[in-house]
Amino acid sequence: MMKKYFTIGLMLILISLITFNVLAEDKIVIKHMEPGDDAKLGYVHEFADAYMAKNPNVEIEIIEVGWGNIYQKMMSMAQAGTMPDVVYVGSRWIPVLAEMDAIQPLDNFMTEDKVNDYSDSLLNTANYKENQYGLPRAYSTKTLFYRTDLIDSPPETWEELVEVAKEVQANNEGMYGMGISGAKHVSTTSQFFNYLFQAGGKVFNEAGEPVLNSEEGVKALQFYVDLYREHKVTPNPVEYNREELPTLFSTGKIAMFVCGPWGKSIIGRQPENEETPYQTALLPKGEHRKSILVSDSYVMAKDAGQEAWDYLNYITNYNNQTYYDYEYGSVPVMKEAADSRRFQQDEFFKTFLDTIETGEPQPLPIVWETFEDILTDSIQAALMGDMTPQAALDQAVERIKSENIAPVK
Amino acid sequence: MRKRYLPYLFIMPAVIFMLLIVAYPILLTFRSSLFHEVLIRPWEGVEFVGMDNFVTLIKNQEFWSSLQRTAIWTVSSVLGKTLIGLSIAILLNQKFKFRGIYRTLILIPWVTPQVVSAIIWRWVYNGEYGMLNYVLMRLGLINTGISWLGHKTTAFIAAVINDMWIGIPFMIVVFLSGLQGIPNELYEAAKVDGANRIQTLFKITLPQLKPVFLTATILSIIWTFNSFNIIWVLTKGGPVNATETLVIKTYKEAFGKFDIGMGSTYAVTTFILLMIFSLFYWRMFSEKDEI
Repeated sequence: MMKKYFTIGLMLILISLITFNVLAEDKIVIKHMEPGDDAKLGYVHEFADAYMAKNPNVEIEIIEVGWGNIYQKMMSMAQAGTMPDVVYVGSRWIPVLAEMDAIQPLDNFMTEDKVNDYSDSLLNTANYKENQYGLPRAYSTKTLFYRTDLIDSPPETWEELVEVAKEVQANNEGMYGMGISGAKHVSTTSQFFNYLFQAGGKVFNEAGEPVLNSEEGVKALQFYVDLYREHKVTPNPVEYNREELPTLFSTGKIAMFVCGPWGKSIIGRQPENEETPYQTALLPKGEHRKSILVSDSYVMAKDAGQEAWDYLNYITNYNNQTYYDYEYGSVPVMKEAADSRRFQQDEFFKTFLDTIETGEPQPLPIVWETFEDILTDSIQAALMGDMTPQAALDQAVERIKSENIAPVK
Repeated sequence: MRKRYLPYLFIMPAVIFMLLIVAYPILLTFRSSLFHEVLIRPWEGVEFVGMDNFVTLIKNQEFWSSLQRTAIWTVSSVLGKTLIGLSIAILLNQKFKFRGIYRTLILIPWVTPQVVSAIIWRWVYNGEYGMLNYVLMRLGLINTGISWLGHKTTAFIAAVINDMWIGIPFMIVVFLSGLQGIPNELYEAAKVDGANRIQTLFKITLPQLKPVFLTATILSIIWTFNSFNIIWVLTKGGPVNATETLVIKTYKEAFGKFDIGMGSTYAVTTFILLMIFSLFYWRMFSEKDEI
């Protein structure tokens, strides 16, 4: 008798396990790859958990990866045909992913309301060949971070920038007036582009040809180089990427640097940071008041379907996006949020918002990594005095042409 | 009959493993080097180009500069590792208190993951708050900080030192085991014959160490030639291309440009160069040994 009950019990357990397994397998699994630090990934998990709670038939699998590895990992997955459904990318990678046919345009998924949530200039940063491949997630304009205890009023022009930097350097032993980056890193290109755009230069012309070596381009690189070689107001830029400048700033090694809003998460704000009080200002003017606009976007794998879009649509809805922008420290991505009192009344964010109208989008060569390598080589050669700015930029243009990576129009 | 095949059966799993994990990818790389294949330009297709990639490589001045840089990098680093490693091994072979502790501590750089080690050295070399500048300034050797990774020559030397730091413990361990294998009678006989320490070193210790020396240096040459992590973390091949060795160049071709054809050509060239060098090196020492 006991044996019979035991057998029936065992069978029931087996049946329930199989049923459970089948049910579990019925779940829709959405793979989401996200780079970033713990704080950023914390928000991603928060949104994914909330989505799963609302949609019990969906399982979100978050693939965490460092910023240093994501490009290689993503490209390997793209080649192997295992691209996750949703991936957070630097918008600069969209052309190559689109050319590899690894991602799909989102135009058919995006409703008019969704499109209207974003400004055209921002959507353009994730648009390739007239297709909207990316949904902007993070947006960064650049401002000048300066020490309020050492600098009364921030510099307004390039000339003033040098003057103020020299003055603060003279009055504070062991401190440089300014910090710029020149390491082999994406930030060296974006830091230089601020000056390039301010001088009236362009990376590519309307026809998509590289025109970095224009008179304006040379003037910009000359100024960038002079900050280090002529005026000596910055530590050796070749050693630093922009991500290291906030640390130099918070340890009192530099008095000014150019950075996006996330700089505050490294430096800290009062009261946690009493040693280096600071404020942000619009970037000093060259011929024009300009700064670079850089965005990161979500893209969807070529084969991802409606379920992946529904999830993406949820994590980028107004409430989630605005919450993320404010808490993590990103310029508000959505138009309505940018106009909201929450951001407009925040002294720190306001400067970044004011910068939007002077913004120039990041150029989109077909293969960013090669472009970055070519340009950082030339910038470093000029910074080290191996080449004149003209020769360095001539070389960059030649290499961009020979590598055939100018944007396809 | 059964006994005859048994050893082969035992090594079969290892052979299959090696064929799958080592031989197959190598063959695939050789094959790719004969094709034009750029993954990010799928519309260009995959085309058999024969030796074209190798011709392009040989005509490319960057390849020759990179090869020259790699040679200097390998020779200087291996030379440093060998000399310092041998000196420390001889010291650690003496009898003194806590010798075991020293022998264990010396392994730390070897067991530290290379990326971690390179990140630590990046901080050591930092021009503004690096430890190296701090020490040199405290000693009064310099007045202002030097940007070690910010100049071509210093960045190259800095990377070599980092590589040496990691590789020295391996040399010490290998040389130490070699030293312990030298029969004591030889030293005793030398002593009786009135040989001094220098003579003992050159007439007994070094000749006896030759097989160990050969293996250790050849392994070190191959590892150093292919050393990637340290340079990538410290300088990414910069400033400009001051630390861009062949392996960095290969990586940039294959995983920056995703030009699998050229990337494979670089890899195959490195493979052939190392193979020729290793055979030549082995032969040279073996022949001398026979004489």
